[in-house]
Amino acid sequence: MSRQITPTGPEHLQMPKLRAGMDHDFYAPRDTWSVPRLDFGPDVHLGIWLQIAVEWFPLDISGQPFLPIGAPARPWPDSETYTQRDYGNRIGIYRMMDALAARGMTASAFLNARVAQRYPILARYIREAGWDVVAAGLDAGAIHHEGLHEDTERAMIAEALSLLRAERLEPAGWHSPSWSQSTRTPRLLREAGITAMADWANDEAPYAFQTGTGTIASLPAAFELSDREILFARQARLADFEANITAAARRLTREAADSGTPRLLCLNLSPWLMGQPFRINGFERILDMLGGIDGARTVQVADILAASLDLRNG
Amino acid sequence: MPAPDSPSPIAGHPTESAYLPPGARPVDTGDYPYAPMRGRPRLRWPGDARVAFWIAPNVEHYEWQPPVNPNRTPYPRTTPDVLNYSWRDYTHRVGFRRIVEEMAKRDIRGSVSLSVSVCDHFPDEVRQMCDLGWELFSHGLYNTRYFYGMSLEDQRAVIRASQEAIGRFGQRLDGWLTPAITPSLETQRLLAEAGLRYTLDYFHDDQPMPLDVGPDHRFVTVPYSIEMNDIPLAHWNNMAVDEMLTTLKAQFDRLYAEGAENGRVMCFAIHPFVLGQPHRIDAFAEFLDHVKSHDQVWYPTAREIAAHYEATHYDTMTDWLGQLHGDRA
Repeated sequence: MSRQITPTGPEHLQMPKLRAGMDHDFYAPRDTWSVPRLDFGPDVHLGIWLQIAVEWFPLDISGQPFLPIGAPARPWPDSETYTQRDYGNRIGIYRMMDALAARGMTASAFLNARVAQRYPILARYIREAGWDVVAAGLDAGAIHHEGLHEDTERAMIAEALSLLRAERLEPAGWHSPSWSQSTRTPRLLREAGITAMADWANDEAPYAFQTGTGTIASLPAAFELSDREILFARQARLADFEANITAAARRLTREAADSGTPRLLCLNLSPWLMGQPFRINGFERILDMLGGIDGARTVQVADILAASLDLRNG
Repeated sequence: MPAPDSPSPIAGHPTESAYLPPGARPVDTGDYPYAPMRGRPRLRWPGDARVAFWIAPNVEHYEWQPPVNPNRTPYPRTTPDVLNYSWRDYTHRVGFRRIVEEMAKRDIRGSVSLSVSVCDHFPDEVRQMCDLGWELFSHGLYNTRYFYGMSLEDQRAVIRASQEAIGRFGQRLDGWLTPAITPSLETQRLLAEAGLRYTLDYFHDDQPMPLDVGPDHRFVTVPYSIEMNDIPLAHWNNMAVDEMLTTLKAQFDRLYAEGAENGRVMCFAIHPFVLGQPHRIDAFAEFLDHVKSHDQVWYPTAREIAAHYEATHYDTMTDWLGQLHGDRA
């Protein structure tokens, strides 16, 4: 039976943020598609930013305020899920690292600080691979959200940065677990000295994001094309995932040629998914397809920031 | 746009259908009779087209910090929800422009399911759509404001605010799609009383149909689509791009074949933050090319479908329905 509805109050007719522009003060609207936003240098038409999610899902994730995609969700202790995710840090990531190294490609580690703390050997291999590090919070279950006290959130950020630095990893940027922020997160990141974050999925090029105490660069945060969205949440076949990426690369390459300005393709990939033996050939095929595009090159945070015409022009 | 008029003091409004107790609730929507496709009088489109094909871009704004409707949470995870807010904001920075280009290139106009607050937040987009000859119809204030729980007076206020906002861009508000399809049983009548001509809230037919909103108004349903709709295709049904394209072509091909005997409508409802992604946009272009490769297709706006139907077929259908059921003149 349809449940009975509850009346709404007068606030549902009020529109306090109705004005030209956004309904917040973080950034102004802009046209990223038809206005040049990027310049990677004369020979690069397609920047490829591989965001490798290096995550630890604690066995006792609270689920507050929501359970992250991929979190252990069976009755405690869900050792099945826990250990399958941990496979990514032991086995899967090395397959991906080898595949990238063999092709002379780089990536960014979207690294949970507690992975570096727990597995310093992995932190060392990431460093030696030449990947840059995007601090991805404390762990996959440490969600930044409005219900946290500001001091708690500030301490989470400080602890994450401190754990990474203890492993001689200086973050080039920040990513919040599950792409979740409170209204305070950008400001707290800025106050902690972070200059770039990849949480907002609204753009294909960086832009200046006003935190309230200075700006931070908002980097593209690919979610629609992530393996956890397409392979895990949507349960697509590997061939379909590959076809999606091929379609995106083909489209962006053509737009780059038509507009005379480069495009950026972001791929967020998880070793516990793409590093599996039955999928790693798919990962390699994706890299070969991307590597075969004339004028395509893998980029990292510093390259993307340097390529941003908007950030360059202040 | 001025804020809609303040609500009437009828909160609770127990006479409204939404508050009838189980057992006393109507068991159907009460505003259309059964009408089998078999035996219907032929619906003829201009140029004897088989299919009236229209695209409904949903140009929406989802609020950063919406008031939370007690009957439907605006965001799936938490509020605010950066991932879901920013993904939808992709419409206004990238996706909208990809969609507009592919449609304009093929000379296909959109009939826009518009969160009317976009008239204030992103007026450049609205001007561009008007310049392209696209129709604007209302999809409510924001797509984070639902009709669930709204009093009839509040619903009327939203309709008036929509007329005002779209009117500022030189268009008359003729059509309607309730945000997230959350109308009450009274909503369609309120639309007709406010002077609107068609609704997209009903999914019961492949042709427009008269809707009984009382003797004083001629009001029609125009087929929108919850099936041929990028969010259900890609996100509810988990379709990869190739399967989406195959599905869209199958829908069109079947309706085109059936349209040889009796005119059909095909609507494709789209969201720039979904279909405007680089991995999906070429499938949209390829589908439009597929449609364009057929010659007996009419490319109207929803308003034009409703107007053509009202002028040429409304009375025929009403007469036929009267004969069919005996008790309706």
